[in-house]
Amino acid sequence: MNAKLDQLIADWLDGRLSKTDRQELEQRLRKESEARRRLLHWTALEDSLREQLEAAPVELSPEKTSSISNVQPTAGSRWMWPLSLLALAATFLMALAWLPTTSEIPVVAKEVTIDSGCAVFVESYGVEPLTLASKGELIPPGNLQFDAGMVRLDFLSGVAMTLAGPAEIELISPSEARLIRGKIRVRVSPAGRGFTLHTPGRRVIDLGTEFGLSVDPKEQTSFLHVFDGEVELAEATATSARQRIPQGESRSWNQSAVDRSNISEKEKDPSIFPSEQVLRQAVAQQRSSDLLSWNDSLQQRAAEDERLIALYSFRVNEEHLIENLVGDFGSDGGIVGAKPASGRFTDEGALEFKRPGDRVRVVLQGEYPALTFACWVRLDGLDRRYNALYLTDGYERDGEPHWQIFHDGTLMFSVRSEQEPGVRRNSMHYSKPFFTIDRAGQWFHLAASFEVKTGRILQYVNGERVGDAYVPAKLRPCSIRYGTGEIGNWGLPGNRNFYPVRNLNGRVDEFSFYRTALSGEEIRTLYEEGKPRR
Amino acid sequence: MQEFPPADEPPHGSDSAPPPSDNAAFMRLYLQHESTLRAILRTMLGSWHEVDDVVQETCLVAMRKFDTFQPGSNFVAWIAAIGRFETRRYLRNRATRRWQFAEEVLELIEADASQMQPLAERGDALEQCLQRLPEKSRQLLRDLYIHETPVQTIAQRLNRSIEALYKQSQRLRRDLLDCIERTLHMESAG
Repeated sequence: MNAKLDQLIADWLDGRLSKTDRQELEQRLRKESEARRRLLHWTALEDSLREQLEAAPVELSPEKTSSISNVQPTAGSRWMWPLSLLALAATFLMALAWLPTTSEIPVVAKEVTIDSGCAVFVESYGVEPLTLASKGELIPPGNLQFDAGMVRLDFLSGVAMTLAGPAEIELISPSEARLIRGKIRVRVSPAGRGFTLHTPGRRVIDLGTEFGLSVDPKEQTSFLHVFDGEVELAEATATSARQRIPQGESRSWNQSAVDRSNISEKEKDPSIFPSEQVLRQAVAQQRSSDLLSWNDSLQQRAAEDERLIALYSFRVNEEHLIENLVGDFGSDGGIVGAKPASGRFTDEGALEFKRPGDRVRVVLQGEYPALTFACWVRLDGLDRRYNALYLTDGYERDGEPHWQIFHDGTLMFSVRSEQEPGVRRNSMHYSKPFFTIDRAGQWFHLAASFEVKTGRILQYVNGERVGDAYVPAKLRPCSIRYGTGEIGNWGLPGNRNFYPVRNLNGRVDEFSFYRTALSGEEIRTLYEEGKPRR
Repeated sequence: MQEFPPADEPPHGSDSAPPPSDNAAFMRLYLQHESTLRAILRTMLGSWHEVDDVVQETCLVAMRKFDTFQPGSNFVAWIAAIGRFETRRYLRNRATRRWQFAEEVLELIEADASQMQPLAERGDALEQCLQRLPEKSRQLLRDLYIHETPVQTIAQRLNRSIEALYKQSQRLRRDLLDCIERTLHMESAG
């Protein structure tokens, strides 16, 4: 086949056909039946690629080989035994294959330049704008500005900084920043000595201490008070003379000169600087009031929303179970390995999944025309190729859903179908990536909905839609079924399962299952009601 | 001339749903020819996402209209006509118009498609061909077609030019097409 024609067709599919090429391609399509057939072949190839690559990202994984055109025999057939042996071999091969990264495209974790981060956003109270940063987020170099509230930053060099709004600060490196306006209090650990703060006209260099600093941009004046230890004050240029300011003393300066006398009594008051303790207490109060209102909304949802099959709040009860707060269709959750840990609001209320055995076992009864999963998850990393959210025990019956996080930070929803007896099919759908390792330690609200009739899969992170796909008609199950399954892991070792370990590395503090597909707006509301305030 | 659904009729509506046996007959034909229908629609639309949308509507309308299909006549021609109609309706609701093939070219493509072997058969051959591809190449295709990563992003990541990546993806697809032809040829010979 003619190479030029192929190139024209590929360019058209890739959306980069030039004007003159358009004419040429159209001419040939008008005249040559062969060209039209070739165009249809190219087009169908792209469609099949989308389907098959999705169904089988790694041909070695047993779950994935059961793709659409690779129909596997049902359990009990004589092929079952060799298949499981193959699966065993595959597990070892995969382990080998993924030790060094053989892929051309590096995994997400490697792309993140942790080195460029300056400070961790530790906590905040009453901050505006609310979108400033998330707890646990690594803040890169650049300006951080907020109008009200308090913020605590930990610079990576070992410096704790508490800021009171309105404030603006430029983060330069883990050991250097520029205060543009506002009041801060800085506590420097021994390793953080030498931390430098730029202000209009002067630099403040720490010598192992705690101090307060404020900058008024209108007057271009700065005020410094040393609570503990010693601080060096230098002119903006590096070569200039330095002045040591001992414990208990204050200085104020403007662009041109340091003035020791011209400090008002009010300014001398060290209590004008924000305090870590005050922030911590405010945050604790906020948390407990958040917890109360979240508890209310949880109880209300459990009592009123009849679409819920199960709602787990992840509080461990006396029988060492996590209770299902609704109905008769879902069991309580049996805890295996996972340890109680602090949740979104308080020091308890979540379970931590760390080791390969950790999981919560649940049984969900019934058949449903649709589903919604919604959960709060704190991810500490994506250690595995597949990181389990919820998976049914097997993946053999029509309508069994699996929900996981793929190692590239995408949400991955898959569902088994068996429209004709013995013909098993699998379809998988990936969201846009949402997680990179610099977001480790943050709480995410994750949700997915699927409707059998339309085949539509929608996935959400923090109320925002990150995935929208359709399961083709031939891959749709007849209904959704669960049976026994687990949160945070997959597979019972020794039970004919040779699949790679999929344990979650992180925490879960709420997980709900619905019998219908919730709207995007409803999922947004779940997120808004459940997110911790700042 | 093919049967067209009237323009003002809503795409949904369950009161005129055919009996279950018809449904099964429809599904059998539909599954057999879905790939061909999708390829035809792709020549009229700008992306697979749009195809996904229109295929949904087309399938629903076709299912409702299945009693107008003459058993034994050309199913692809019949459902493609519905698909063309749904595509027009879909494009009418869009603010921006994109370049597309001239109407008579689209009709020729549609006519050829209705006479071809079902394109779905090529999917099975593709699977064998994909397995022969190095993992690196499959990963590139996965990035392009599953994760829909922009070529620019991949190029940056791999430190290669955008043009080189387009070329590579074109070459990969052409190799796969050749492999599919060979496989189908061997199968029909054997």
